[in-house]
Amino acid sequence: MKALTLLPLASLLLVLGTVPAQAQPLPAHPDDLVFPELSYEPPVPEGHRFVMKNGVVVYVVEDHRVPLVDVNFTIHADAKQEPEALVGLHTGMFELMGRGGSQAHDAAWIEEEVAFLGARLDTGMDSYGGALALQSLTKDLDRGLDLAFELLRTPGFQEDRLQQWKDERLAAFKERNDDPERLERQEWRRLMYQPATWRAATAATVAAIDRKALLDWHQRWVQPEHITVTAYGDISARELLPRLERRMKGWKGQSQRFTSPDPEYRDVQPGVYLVNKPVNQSRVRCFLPGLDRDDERWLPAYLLNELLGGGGMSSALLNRIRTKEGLAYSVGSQLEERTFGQGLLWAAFQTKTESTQFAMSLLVDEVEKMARGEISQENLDNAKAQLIQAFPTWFSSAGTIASSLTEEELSGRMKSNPRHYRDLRAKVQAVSLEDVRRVAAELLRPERLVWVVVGDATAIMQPDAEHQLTLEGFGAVTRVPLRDPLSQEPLPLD
Amino acid sequence: MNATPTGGLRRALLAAMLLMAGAAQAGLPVTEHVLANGMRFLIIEDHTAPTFMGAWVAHVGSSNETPGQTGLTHLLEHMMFKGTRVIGTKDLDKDLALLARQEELMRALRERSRGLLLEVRQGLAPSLAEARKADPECVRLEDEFQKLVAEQRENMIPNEFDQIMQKNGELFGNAFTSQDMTAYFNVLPANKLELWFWLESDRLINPVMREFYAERDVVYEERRMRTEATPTGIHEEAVNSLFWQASPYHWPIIGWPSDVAELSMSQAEAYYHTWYGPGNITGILAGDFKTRDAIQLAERYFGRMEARPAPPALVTLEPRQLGEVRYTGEVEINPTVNLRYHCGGFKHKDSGVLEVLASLLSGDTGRLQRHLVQEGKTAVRAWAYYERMKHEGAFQVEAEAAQGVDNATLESALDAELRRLVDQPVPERELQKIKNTYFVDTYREQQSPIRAAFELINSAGCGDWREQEAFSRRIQAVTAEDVRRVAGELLRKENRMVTWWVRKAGAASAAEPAGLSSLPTDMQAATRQMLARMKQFSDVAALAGLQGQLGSANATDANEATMNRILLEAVTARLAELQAKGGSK
Repeated sequence: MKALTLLPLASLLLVLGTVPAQAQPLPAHPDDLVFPELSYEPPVPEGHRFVMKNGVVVYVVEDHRVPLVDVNFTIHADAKQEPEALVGLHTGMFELMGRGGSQAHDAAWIEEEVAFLGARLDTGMDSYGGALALQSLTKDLDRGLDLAFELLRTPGFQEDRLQQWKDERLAAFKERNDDPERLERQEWRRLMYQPATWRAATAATVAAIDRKALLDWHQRWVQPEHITVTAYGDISARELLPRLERRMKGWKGQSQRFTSPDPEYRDVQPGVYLVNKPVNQSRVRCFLPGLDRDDERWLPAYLLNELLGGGGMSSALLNRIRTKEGLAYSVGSQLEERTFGQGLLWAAFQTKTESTQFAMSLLVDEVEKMARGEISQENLDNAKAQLIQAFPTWFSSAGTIASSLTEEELSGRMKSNPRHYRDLRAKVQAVSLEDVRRVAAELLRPERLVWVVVGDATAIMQPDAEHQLTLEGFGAVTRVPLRDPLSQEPLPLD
Repeated sequence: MNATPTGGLRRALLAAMLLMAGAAQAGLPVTEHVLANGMRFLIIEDHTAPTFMGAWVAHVGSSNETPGQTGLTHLLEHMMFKGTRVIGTKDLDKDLALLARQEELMRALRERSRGLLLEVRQGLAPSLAEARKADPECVRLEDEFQKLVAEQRENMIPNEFDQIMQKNGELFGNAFTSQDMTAYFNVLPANKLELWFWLESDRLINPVMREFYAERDVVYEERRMRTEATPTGIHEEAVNSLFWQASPYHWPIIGWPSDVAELSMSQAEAYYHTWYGPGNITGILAGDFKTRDAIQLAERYFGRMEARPAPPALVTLEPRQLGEVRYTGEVEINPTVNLRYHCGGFKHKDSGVLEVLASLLSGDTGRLQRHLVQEGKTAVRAWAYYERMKHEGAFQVEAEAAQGVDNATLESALDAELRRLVDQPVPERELQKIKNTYFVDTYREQQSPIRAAFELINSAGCGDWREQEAFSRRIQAVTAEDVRRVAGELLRKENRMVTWWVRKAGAASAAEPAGLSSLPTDMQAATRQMLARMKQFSDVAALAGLQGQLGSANATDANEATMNRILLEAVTARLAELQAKGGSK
């Protein structure tokens, strides 16, 4: 840091060399500012995409500012195919692949090696199934890759670590009903997902997982045809590829690729699903069917959601429920972008028990207004401008460039729509107010709202006399029982 | 890993030398520039991507508040998004006149409330809010106030500050308040550098605190969300205020509820004048621009701010704690023990040693994981953390009890582990492992300009942005003897607070039947499943049959006997419950 002592002097010289401050008047309003043109073209796979001899695709994005290399292995795997008696196996396999040692080395030995290098080597679940992530100093990359491949190809799943993992799961299960936020998350998922595609692990299913099951699940999924590699940092493809090739030698799999690893949604009877948790603030979340991201209405719907509640402080729900009425701190909505299949459109807030129904009525009111087409051209223009202007910030580092390329590969969009990123800004620009109004009328159907409310059930069910509201006014009310945290069997309601 | 003093040590030193070889490490490449009015700028030019992060940190946190006004720093942070003399209004003069009238009414309301507060203290009214609702004059003032608010809304452009940021391509923008600082940050496309300067200097020079009182309600919802409607929130608030005796760290950042309810716009304006002068603010920019341009814009926009007197210094020093403090909270989490020790803060000479101590205990290869979780099986999860705050520090060690282990046993196991740090020198290789991790971490900080900017926010906010680099150097210089010395000074009973979290019995997590937790995992799981089903089962005849079977069953081993006993007790209880209800359906 010796160079630093010179810097104040350098900056002084820079200032002296420029126009004196305050010589020109400042623009009166930020809309009067004139900005330099920013021409930005999104990254393309050319020059970054490579294919190994066994078919594994590798993305490499160089960044030599610091001597660090990241190598991530994304592993396509389908949790939905877990045997019913072994729910938790998928999570367990990916978590223990990194923590359970290898066939050659004890887990603790590997962990100490990695820590001594100041490196990181982790495994776990990710949106495509699972992942193994390595980060090390450039000079230690070979050592890091050796250990990474040991875990990837020949994991140990040693018994003591399996037992430790089971103990951790059991401890985590015990806290399932404790935090209202967690309770809300698990109950809305239980309600909205197809039961055949999403199941909660229980003490019994976790207890039934043994080393053999882990090895079988590993054998089934952690195969070259399911792996995509994303590398970035202080390394070139020329340096990296032979290193990967050498370690993948003789590694070929047999299984077939599948498409979606996500649980599917189901049609839920509209109404209010009430979960009792006696605290002084209700957590409210409501759902409508969303869209497939390849749907031609996707962009108008995306912009609609920005105007409704996705656009932060300037969105309708925030302006009304938070800014104007002071009824909530966190308010928002999201049009869920799923890689495969249709997602949900949801909105959520938290408000004190007494104002639950009133805040819900404000949400309905805003949804109805938009459904009727009460959307201003100015607000739409702002939402479009944000999306277009912010575009370059999506690719703010070698890591985000590399992972966005991998995403396009894994989702299949690189093949189905290779110009997606290049055309996106022009497509956004072309969305008209009419397009948004049309999709608003189609998607925003207040009578189809499914509400999940977690809070003090007895108080929430009381009519709100001041605003002349009842909970039944939002649809049939269903009391959702809490579940035994370990067995997930329903508990009595009262 | 048998680290014999000779072979092991030599290998460790060799490895350490290899690690350091070829890497002359530099800190963040920062250009510092100070304006004539005292405002400091820290600038990192980085052309990796066409984007930048702009931030400014006001050197004021909740620890600068005074009793009765707690929560004011945080509420002021919210108010800084409410617009200025230019942003957020259709007619400024009308706006200001309405605000003045609102403030007058609120003053009258507060005057009126003094007598009501006495009623609360006398135990005659449950709360000030309730007393006001029952007082016709208060109701009248409140109604009149709400009319003015409605009138003002007609004249406002709500959330215009955020709107402008967003339509110009903001990726994210937010602010936070801590005990030591208040920071505001945005990520924007590279060509919007001047916009950042325009908006940020405008709100620092000309803030108008519209919707103050509605925002106070928003903050109360934030308090419910973060503190009151969480398993341990209000207890943690109590624990914190017991830990700090004199230090203003002892009140919550969000403020005591009774204080927040009485905060006024005038107080916020006065607080702003005291603490938001240019000499008390550091601007931070990192990303794709020319340093020369950034400095020029800083001079142009922030050079307009008039210098203000330095705000008062925090003089309070935390006195030495004289005896162990203990707290037991009945909450909805698994049984957990937390130990919290007093120690030095941000610039303390031993901060590097304290950080190393926390690392020795924490993480995948830390001692708590190895000894308590994996070998002793007394904990299911354990960590240590050094809270390096501006004026003081705290050293925390926490563990969640393993199945069947009580908090007393867990506390003894933690004590034994901590004692080893005092009694035995840390092996060289173990110490080197931690130094290596920190060495690589300094590169991690530089992986993205956004991350680097956050590092600067924290270190500048604690009073010295260069400290982060000094801290890294101190970590690399730590010796085994330092560790033993500091552990000995730190880990004394009279220097700590012990918190026990014990699980509150409740419907969703009924108390455990005796012996259940000592069964093997699979047996336990099966038993739990049967217990849960039994609660739903209402067929009296079948239950009675099961009761008979369990009563006469001959167990083949002790575990099976325990399981039978637990199930028998449950069947008997369920039968009694159903009979009390009077029916079999």
